[in-house]
Amino acid sequence: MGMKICFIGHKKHTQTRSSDFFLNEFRDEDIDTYFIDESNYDIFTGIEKEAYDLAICWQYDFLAQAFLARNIPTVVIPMYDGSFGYPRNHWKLLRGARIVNFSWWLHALCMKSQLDTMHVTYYPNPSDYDQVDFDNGLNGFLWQRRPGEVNWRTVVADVSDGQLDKLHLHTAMDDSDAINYLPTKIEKDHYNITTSEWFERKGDLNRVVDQSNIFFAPRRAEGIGMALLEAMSRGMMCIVHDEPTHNEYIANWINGVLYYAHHPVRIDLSNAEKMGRRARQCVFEGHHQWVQNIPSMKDFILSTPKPNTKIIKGFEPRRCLAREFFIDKNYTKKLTRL
Amino acid sequence: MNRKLFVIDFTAILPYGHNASGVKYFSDFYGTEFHEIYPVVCKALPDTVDFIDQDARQAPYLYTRNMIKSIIPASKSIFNWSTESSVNLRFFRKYIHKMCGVDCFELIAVRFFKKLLEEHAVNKDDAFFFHSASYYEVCGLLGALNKRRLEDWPKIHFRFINVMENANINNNGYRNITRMLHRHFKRQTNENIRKVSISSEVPSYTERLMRDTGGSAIITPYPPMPLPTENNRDDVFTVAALGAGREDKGFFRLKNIIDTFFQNYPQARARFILQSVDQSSIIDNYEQSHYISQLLATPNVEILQHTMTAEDMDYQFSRANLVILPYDPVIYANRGSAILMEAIGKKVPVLATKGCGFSEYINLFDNGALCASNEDFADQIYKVITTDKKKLADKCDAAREKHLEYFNNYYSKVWA
Repeated sequence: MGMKICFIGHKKHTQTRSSDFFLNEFRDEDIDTYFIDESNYDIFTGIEKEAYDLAICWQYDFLAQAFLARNIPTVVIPMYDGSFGYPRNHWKLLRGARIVNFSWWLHALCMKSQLDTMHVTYYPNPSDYDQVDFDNGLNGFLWQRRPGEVNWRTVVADVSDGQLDKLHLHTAMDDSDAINYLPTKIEKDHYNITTSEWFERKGDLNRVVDQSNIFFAPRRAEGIGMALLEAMSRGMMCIVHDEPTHNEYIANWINGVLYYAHHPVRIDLSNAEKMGRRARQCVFEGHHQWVQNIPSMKDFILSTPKPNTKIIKGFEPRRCLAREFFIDKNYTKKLTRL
Repeated sequence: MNRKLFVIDFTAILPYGHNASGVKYFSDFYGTEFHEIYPVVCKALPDTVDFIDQDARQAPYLYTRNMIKSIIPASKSIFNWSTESSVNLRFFRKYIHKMCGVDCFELIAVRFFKKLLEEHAVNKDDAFFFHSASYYEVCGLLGALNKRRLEDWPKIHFRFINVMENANINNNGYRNITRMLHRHFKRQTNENIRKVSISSEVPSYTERLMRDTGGSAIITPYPPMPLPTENNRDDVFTVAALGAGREDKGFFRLKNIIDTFFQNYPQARARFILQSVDQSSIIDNYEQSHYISQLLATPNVEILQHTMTAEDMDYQFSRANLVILPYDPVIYANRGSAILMEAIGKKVPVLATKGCGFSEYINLFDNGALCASNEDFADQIYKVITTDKKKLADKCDAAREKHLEYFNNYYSKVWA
């Protein structure tokens, strides 16, 4: 049995399984996983009883402070969509922890804050996916997770502008209480739109996606972008908003197209198949690279040193908190609740 | 009588780059001509650079901290006046200069050389060699020797590479250096004694130095490099843009070159390995950050670290089939390129921008081609890919031989 590791992730990841690929790499270690949400940060009473050798905070970067203060070697895996907007002092509070970044932009930001950071680019194994075909016209797929960011009208009316033969709209939203923006029956008939709601099994969703060949990214920014990577693996042409991590995987007009979702323009889809095939090729190359990088990433994580208590227990965190209080009250609230 | 040689580099402080390795190279190179060799590097050079003795770490660091802030943290302590880390020293230096017109770093440099001359009882048989002379080295040594009779001076050779000459408090070091040397050359002519000689890495800069100092100068190219320890080339043609990525080194042209290449020659099978820019310094610049993320997304492109150890560099050269140097011809008009010389030494063909100081070497050694535009680079890359491998290898062998001959020919004139 290896090290005793505490892994903290978001409750939602138990459904999306987006951290599974990472956890699989640590299956030889004695790893306890805690998937929590915003209403439940009070996990430290349980954690303190266990003598963990290492803590890994996936997405919850601000929880790192609590582990560092308990003198536990800590690894933070921040996500671009959640952490890029945090104030500068947030990154200072992570001194003493090691950071693994799946986004180059966050990596550069951490480097600027002189943190001990490593950048890795994840690609799934494309052999697990079949190449979609382009013989039956151009069929779009959009998972309308956040209609405020990307919605079906942007996709069919502005971006594809009549070039799509069909659009499948998956309507399960991130915030199930919000009101969705759905096409009317007339619009569905006019644009040839089919819809689906939440699938209990991922295989059902995959079957729908496999029938499409044009992928529209559902959000403006991503932490890793699993949906995009799966679409690239299938050889779909990917049309994504120009923000990380999309623009770290899609080279504009080479293996997909970048656009501004808030300012959509018509995108020529005549080279869709070529770009889709190139995207799949990129995943083959990227996956090879990812597999090669796994040992160094694991080594970087498992060799995390104990934090320097002088930095952690000094007045710096309090000073940062005081400063941030006047800038971002929500952020401070999160920290003071630990 | 023991002849001593001092090989000095005040800027040898980083564990990577060519400064410390240059000191080591020239110390070994002149080992047979002198009885005692004293390499001198910055006292804060990390211990990881194990090919330099601890005794050699004695020079002060008198330049901007930007370059070294990642390896030597700044100190604001009023008890710390070290030239490497003290923030206060640099702060007060500015005000002292404003009030009295005195640059305390010049005084530190002069004091350092006076101590060195005294400690080693330096006399007229000894020599000083600066492989990449900087402002404070020139003014420090000439200032320390100023009161000596010219005939008692040791022999001095300054090799200028157009990088650190300007680095003084007003960034006008080159003008001051050439004035000092001009005065000195006049004195040499009057007394008919030759003690100080100068050289530069590229012909255009040599001409400029001769014009500005009124003295003679020779060309001293970058030393020949050893062949890579192993061959790691595979069946994919590898194009490398090595050397820390910077705007003046054409880093922000590379994507255009790569895109043009694959657009014009989609059938070509090639991989591009690019040494990155300092990523932490560009994160606030959206366009540049976006450019890097697009490079990351581009197929057949591999981005390497901004800084690399000599071993890593050797490994990357061992993978490369071609090196490209799309440098800015304005900034590099009088500069050499260590990467070019490494490529010649390691028998890798090179494509470079027309009009750089080092471009003439490519014509001279015939190990590549010069390009005027990004299109041109793309076309030339394809041309090299389709050139007969044997013919290319023969050209690279000949270039290495020519470089060795050229190097020995010019360096033999240094102490003449």
